[in-house]
Amino acid sequence: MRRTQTGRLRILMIALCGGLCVLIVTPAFLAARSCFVPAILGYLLFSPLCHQIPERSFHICEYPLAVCQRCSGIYFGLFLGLLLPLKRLFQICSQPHLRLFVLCICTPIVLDVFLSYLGIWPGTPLSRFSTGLIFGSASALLLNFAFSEFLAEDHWKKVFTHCAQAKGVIL
Amino acid sequence: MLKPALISGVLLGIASAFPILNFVNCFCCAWVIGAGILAAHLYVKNSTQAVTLGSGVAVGMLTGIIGAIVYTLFLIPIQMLMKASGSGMMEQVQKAMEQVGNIPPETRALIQSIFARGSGAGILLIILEGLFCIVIFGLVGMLGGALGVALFEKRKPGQAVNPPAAIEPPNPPYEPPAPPPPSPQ
Repeated sequence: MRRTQTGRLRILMIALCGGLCVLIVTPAFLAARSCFVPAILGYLLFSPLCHQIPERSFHICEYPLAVCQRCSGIYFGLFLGLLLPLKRLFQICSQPHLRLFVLCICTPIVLDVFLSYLGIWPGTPLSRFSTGLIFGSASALLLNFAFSEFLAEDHWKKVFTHCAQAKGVIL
Repeated sequence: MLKPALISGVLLGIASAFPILNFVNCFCCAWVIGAGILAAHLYVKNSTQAVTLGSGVAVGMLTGIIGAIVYTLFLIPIQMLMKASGSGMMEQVQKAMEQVGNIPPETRALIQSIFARGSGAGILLIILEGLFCIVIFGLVGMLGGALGVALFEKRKPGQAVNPPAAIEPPNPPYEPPAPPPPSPQ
């Protein structure tokens, strides 16, 4: 029963991440087809989450994606990582060394950001996308493993209870 | 779980809404991941049992959802204040129009008139952004929570902070000293 629930949650997350990946590329396609208003809406949705600098974004049909190269790598990495059935491999290799795993996946992206910011490393589209892809896909492995614990401990019930309580507190 | 998520979520919402602070979110949602990690850290610190990755995901998701709600609630008055001073939503719309580039002048004028006319379109857009952010902040918050637990939880699953005290044997009953033997006469 729990394996079914975990599978359903995983499918839901894959659908969510897949939907985000589609939303990222949609404004460029819409702009290419002269559907300017929905394209602008698509760019506005992602504007709080990304700097959207065109020189640091991939282009489709000469229009930039809704997020930059690094964020594209993260979102596509999340989608790919959730698709791959590597939960067992993660359990064997990384679970005993969780802190080391987290440090290993965060180091490339943090280094790429800070070295570019300091001017030491110019940063290339490949470095931005690949560090984002590594971070996203490895994070998806971590999340994949965490979902089975999330469902086993009935946290989803606690989250809904706490959301209702928080709504009462805020209102 | 609610208290760390509330604290981190409110901080996340405020930081994401304020004009200069919100720039940090452009670095791959850094505020959201940071809030998830902070919530996990507070939860681990106050928990008597070892916290699992599943708990980290739960507290992170809660943090993201609360943060998105607070962000939306704070953004509306901030955008109104910025509009009164001549900036705000129109800047974002202009930036989005520059992304698209060759918009026909009539379409450009129509979009500008919609947002210049009143605050209705702006508030609608903020609410739409808020609903979208609930999903994104929740997802990224889950990641932050899982990362936080992985970084800060050192106990093994099932281990408590203060292990139960070992049961000591009871003190032996008091035995008065034996009286001295009578002196020989």
